[in-house]
Amino acid sequence: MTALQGEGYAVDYNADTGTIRITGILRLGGIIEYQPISELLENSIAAHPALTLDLSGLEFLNSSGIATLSKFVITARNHQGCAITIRGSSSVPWQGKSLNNLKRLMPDLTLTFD
Amino acid sequence: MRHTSISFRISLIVTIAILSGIVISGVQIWSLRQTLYAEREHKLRDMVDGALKLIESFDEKAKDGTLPLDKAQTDAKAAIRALRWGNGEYYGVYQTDGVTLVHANPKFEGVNRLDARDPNGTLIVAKLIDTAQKGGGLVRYMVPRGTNDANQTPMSKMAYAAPYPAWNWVIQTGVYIDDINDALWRQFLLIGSAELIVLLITGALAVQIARSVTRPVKNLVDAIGAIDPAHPGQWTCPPVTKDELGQIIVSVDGLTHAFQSVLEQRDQAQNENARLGAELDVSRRMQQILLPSSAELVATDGLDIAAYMEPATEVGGDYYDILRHAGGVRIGIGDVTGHGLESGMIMLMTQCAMRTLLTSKRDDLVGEINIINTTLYENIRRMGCGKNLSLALLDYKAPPADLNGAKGALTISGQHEYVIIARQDGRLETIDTENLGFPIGLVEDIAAFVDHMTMPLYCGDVVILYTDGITEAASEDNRLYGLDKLAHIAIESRSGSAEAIKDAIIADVKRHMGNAVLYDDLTLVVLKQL
Repeated sequence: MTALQGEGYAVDYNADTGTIRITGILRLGGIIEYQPISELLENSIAAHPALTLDLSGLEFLNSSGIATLSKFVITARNHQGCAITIRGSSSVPWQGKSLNNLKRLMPDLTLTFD
Repeated sequence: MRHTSISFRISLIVTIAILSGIVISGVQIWSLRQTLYAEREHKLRDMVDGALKLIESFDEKAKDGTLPLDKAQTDAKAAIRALRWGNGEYYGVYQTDGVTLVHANPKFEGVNRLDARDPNGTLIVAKLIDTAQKGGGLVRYMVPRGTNDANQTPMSKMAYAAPYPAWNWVIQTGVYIDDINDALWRQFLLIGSAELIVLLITGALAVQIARSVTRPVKNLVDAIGAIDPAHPGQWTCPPVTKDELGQIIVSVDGLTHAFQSVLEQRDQAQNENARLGAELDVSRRMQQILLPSSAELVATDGLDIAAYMEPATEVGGDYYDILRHAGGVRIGIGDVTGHGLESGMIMLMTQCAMRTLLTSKRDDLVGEINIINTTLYENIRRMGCGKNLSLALLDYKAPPADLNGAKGALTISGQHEYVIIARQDGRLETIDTENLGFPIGLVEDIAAFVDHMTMPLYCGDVVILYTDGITEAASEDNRLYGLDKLAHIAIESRSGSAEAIKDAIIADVKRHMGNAVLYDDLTLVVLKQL
């Protein structure tokens, strides 16, 4: 089901499989505008210790979005016993370095590139 | 018609309607009059015909010898004298020479009244005889009621006169027609008063209708005339009626508000453009204002330095600095995400933090990167913009004794683009800085991710530092310039001065771009070990 959506992007949350899928182009203005996505991510990790974040369809994410993901990974790192999988796409330019940096923030994180 | 007022047009309709009413009533009255006269004429003719039959019957008796002629004529006169019809109407019989033979007034009988005139001067008897002798017909004249009593007022009378040629007689009977005129007059008064009532009602209605149209139209025209061109939406909208005019008012109201919103949008766009233009100017100035001067780049300490920065149309967040200090040269290069005022501010804060740390003589690149990160992280959090930057700090020093033959040592820390080293002998080294740091300002503590490495520099070695504006410069067909081309031109041009190498690289990048738009700042720093 679609949990959040806006101009050019959609955030789907599958509560059964514990998968959050973000697609499109995300260029919200500032950290505050990312608050709803931030809350969705943090509520999901509380409900699903084994969470999959599928970003393979996210063509662009601005710096505020990358900051939001980084904060989420730090929060997740502080949760006991959670296992996060991030799925990226090697054909999307922004993801290479940024997702690797997330992995460096949380070495237990599983990072896969389609 | 279009050049006349609405009131005039409405009154024209009313006038035409009333005139038509008058014409139709006139025709009706005229037609009634004709009918009444025709009925009278018909009656008169019938009555005269009947009397002629009577005379004829006496003539028959004279002809067949039953009666002598004079007896027959005397009897005939007596018989006709006794005849009355209608409202006591009588017959008159005359000889063609004018002598009255029969009349209701016995004084007239036996008298020649050829010269008898009515008040209008009509020769009554003469005209009756004349008309009869022409075959019969109507004669009109004035005569008092009763038996031609001169004391009474003469009234209009219509008579029919016909000849009886065998006896040289003329017979007539007449009827007063003043009642016809009375009837017509009554009819005229009736229709006239009805017309007058209709005239008053339609006139009053027409005035009301004209007012109900012209007044709101005038109000609307006045309201439109009073519209302030600068604020059309603030016009005084007249009350909206439920007719066509109401629709016009609603349309005009919609139009003024549409104009208003277009004006507001235009003003907003102008304000926004002015604001963005001002912000762009400030950002561009910010980026340039703290760049090292060319005097600071003059070669000393065995290192030849050249630098280039070209801001994109929408100034990006590139940053570089070269600071000389007692122990050597400190070089910083970075790229703040996004563009605009906030990126410029972050750039300035980075520069200031870097110089402050250099001034404090810590001489610890890893520690400095950590401090810069924490400082900027807190400030960026205040700004709420979520920006971050890549930043590499490099420190050039005289080599430690164990670096055999090296003329200098370059220590690198922080995550940025590759550091390209074109060795004097043509070998190429590309140093991945990913594991030497972490994006600055993204997370509070990056101590765990920051590292450093030291590279020896030998005579003629060239070090290339750049931002992604160089490697991602797109050609007209959208191919990126790329790391390989940059490394290749660095090797190719390595024998020249730092300035010459810089010029060669920029020329190559520009050649690649052709006429393509520059979307990101181009920053290039060339170091050459002398």
